[in-house]
Amino acid sequence: MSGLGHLLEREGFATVLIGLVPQHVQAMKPPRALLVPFELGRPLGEPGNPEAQRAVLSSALQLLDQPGPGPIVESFVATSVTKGVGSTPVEETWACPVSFPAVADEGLSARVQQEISLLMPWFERSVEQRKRTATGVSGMTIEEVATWLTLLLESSESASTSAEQPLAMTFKLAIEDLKAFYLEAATAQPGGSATDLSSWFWRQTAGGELIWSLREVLKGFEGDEQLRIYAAFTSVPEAEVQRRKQLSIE
Amino acid sequence: MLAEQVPEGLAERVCPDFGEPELTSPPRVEDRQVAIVSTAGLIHRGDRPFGLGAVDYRVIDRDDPADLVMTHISTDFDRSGFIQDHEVVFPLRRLSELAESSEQREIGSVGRFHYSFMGATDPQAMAPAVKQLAQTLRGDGTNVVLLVPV
Repeated sequence: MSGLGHLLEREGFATVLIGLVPQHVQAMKPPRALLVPFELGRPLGEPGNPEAQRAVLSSALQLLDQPGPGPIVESFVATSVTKGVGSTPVEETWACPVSFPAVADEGLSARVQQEISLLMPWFERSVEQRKRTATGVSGMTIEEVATWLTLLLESSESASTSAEQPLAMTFKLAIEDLKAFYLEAATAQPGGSATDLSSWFWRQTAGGELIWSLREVLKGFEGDEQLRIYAAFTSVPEAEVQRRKQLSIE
Repeated sequence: MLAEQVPEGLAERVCPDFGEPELTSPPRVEDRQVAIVSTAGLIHRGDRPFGLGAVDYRVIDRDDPADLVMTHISTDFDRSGFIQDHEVVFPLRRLSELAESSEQREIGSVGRFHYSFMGATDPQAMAPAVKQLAQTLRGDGTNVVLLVPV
């Protein structure tokens, strides 16, 4: 992103960057940058807090009036409207609106379909409230996504895909659909930091377990190099992979 | 993020050297027309999704921002914020409010067209696309760019 700042400034545009990774800003010296303390994925901070988001934007745009030379870099100073951004206050504990029953003797596919059924009313509520959904990018319904991913887990040949779209891309879009369904349902009620929601999905749901299983099976798959790369590097967050490695060592 | 919170692998990533920045002077506040350039891999539903190594961009029309979806290949950042509120990643409404505010004028207007690249790609490889993008930005009358990573 800092690189785009350099390139656009050379083209005659004044730029200002919202900086999420201080080390990268320091190394790449963008023309103007406002460093923000928020989690990756939340450059403007807290969802549903327009006042706090405007404060971030104002601080960034004010850098345009500072004299050079560059880089002009400042840190965003949290105010009363932005305190607690990106995280749930300590006294609150987030819980998913749905409790999944223990069904240890059921197969993974059945457990995912059961979770989808239980989350569906919350997903529908989310769509009604937000008037949108990020699901459906794969072109499949969420039940079809779960079925397709389960088939892929059994055999890459049994999961067919359209001729125009490589198998790897269908895989990537299908797991994005599955994650979006769970997260939209889980956030139908307010609350939950990025960490809460990530921990819940990757450690407590069969949906997360399905993607984990696909990663483990496909990361050594030799039949489709692109699919192998997507599975190994773009399916499960690196932080979760490292955590699991650490746990297995201990 | 705070520097100490950045995951080790990300903090230590080797960054390309663009040298010292050249600053372009912005016009007067009332003449500033701002466009957002995101690297969140945003597309309008139905557009071509971003894939590995993508260095191109998608156009987001100010007058048709509905149904944006994220197709960034990385899974190492939060998506729940965007799911709850698009403004967390793509602050088009907030920017428009600043342009319309009579209390505290910070920009003049908001461009019609905004853009999304996908990060996690070498920015030097994006140079040809940025040349092309610059023409489109000029054509729209934009002179200030807000860069929003993810």
